[in-house]
Amino acid sequence: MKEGNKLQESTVVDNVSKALHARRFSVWHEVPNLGQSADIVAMKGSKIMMIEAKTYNWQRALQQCKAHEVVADYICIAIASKQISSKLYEFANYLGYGIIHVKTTNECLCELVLPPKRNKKKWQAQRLVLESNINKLIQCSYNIG
Amino acid sequence: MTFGTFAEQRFFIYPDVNTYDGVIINANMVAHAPEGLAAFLLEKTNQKPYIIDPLTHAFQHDPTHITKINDDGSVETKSSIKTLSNNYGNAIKDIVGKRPLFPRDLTENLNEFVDSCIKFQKTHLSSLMANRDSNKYLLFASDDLTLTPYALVAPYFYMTEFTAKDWLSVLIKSAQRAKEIEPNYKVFSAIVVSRGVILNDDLIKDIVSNFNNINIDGFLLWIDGLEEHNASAAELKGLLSLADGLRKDETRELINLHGSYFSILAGGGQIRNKSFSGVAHGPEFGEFRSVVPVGGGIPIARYYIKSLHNRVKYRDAVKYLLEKNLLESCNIYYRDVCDCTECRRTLNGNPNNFTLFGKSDTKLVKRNSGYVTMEYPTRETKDRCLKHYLEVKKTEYDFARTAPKSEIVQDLNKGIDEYEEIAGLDFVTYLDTWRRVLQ
Repeated sequence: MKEGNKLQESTVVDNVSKALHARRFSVWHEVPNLGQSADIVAMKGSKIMMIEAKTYNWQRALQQCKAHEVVADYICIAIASKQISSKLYEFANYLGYGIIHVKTTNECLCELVLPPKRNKKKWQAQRLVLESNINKLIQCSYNIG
Repeated sequence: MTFGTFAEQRFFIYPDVNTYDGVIINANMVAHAPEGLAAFLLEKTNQKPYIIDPLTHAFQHDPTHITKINDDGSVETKSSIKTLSNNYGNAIKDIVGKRPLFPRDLTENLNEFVDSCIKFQKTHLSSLMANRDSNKYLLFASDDLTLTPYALVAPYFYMTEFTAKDWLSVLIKSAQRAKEIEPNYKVFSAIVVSRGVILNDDLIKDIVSNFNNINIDGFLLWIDGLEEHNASAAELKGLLSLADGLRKDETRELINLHGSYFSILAGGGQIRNKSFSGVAHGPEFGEFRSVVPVGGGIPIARYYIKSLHNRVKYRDAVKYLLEKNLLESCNIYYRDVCDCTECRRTLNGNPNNFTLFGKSDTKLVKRNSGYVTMEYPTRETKDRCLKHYLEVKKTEYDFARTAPKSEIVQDLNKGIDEYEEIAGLDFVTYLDTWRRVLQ
């Protein structure tokens, strides 16, 4: 059995969100972006960080993050596991993504093991569409911050 | 082009009245909405010829595909299929919705089935068309208005490599009967087969030789779920081999019901002999289709990239165009991506308006114990993507018919060269496969 299966993905999302909120980010879940939904969108000031949360399938998270390159300032993968795979670290570092490690312990502590690099592939036109989607969520009172 | 829904009927003269050579309509739609279809054919297609696909294979599959469960738990045949079955004779009426049709069911009833099916195609719409007011004006304006179908299609059955031995003889007899009762009419058979069949040379030869020995004017062809962008070279070669054999040195017509640019090139006559006399698909769907429909899934906006000859998800199209700096200015876009009327209208001088090809509305959708927000392309987005698609498709058909072979090959190579680095070799390799198979 894989280590990450001990945690549900929703638990990963909740714990990362709480950690972000503690650092004064505004946080939303399941934000539509380019035909898919980002697990977590965190905003501070005008900067947007998009996070995909996984319990084990980090390869899938890397694929999902590709779409976020068009709109996000920073991109992270939140992974629940005993250890961070060296392959994940290598790929994430190459792509400029950050890694948030959610430890599979009772406390589910979150640690930023690889800070994300500033994304330079952002297209402002599409970014405005994302901001519009976030505004719609605000109107629907989905802000958990 | 294949008729899908009435929402798309206005596109059968888009981008212009001469874009399409004809319309394919499924018989269940004819049964479901004959008045609407009669009006559509007379008034929305510039009186283009039409063919009714009798959809007879529907009766040989698991009945759950043609039945629905009512609120009270009872099971009922879908109304359009029920109407169809009532027009197809006792062999179908007796079993519809209860069990699949078998070859043995047609041992004694085949002629009645064929006769009824042919009569349905010949009269069900044409009689309604004849009575419409618009028909009187059209008759006044035109000497050669034809209300009956371009060709009649004999009842047909889906064959896999394992069931062909059971169904082929029935298919042949069906075609023979249809031609016997309509000797002065164009009669087609329909070859609907699994991908296993086109990988089996002996089966291909068997099917071809059987049909070569009978009097038939043409075929509809449908390979179950064959997606030409993902097909192997062997499958594509098998497709062409079957088509070429059935066409009998191009003396018979053959329409590929679900084809993409590969089939368009194969029917163009410039890069090789014409394997198809026609290629059909729906308005932005239907370049491949499963015999037993696999539905569902969330609709996603897709943009047809001209160089790739492929519809890609909007988010991928954005990624590719940004990586290649093709959204820096409208001039660059028109020169290197597309300069069709719809693209010019959508961009309207501002390359940022490319986002309109992906514009979506968000809706709350119940998921498990809560709600999630999901994106759905707007009606306007679907129209934009569709119009762009149809305009590019028209250029593809024209190009396949008129461009020299060297230019066609160069165009395929161009797609690989332009997108290989950013989309990956796997993503563009079909262009190379097509080039190799067609030459």
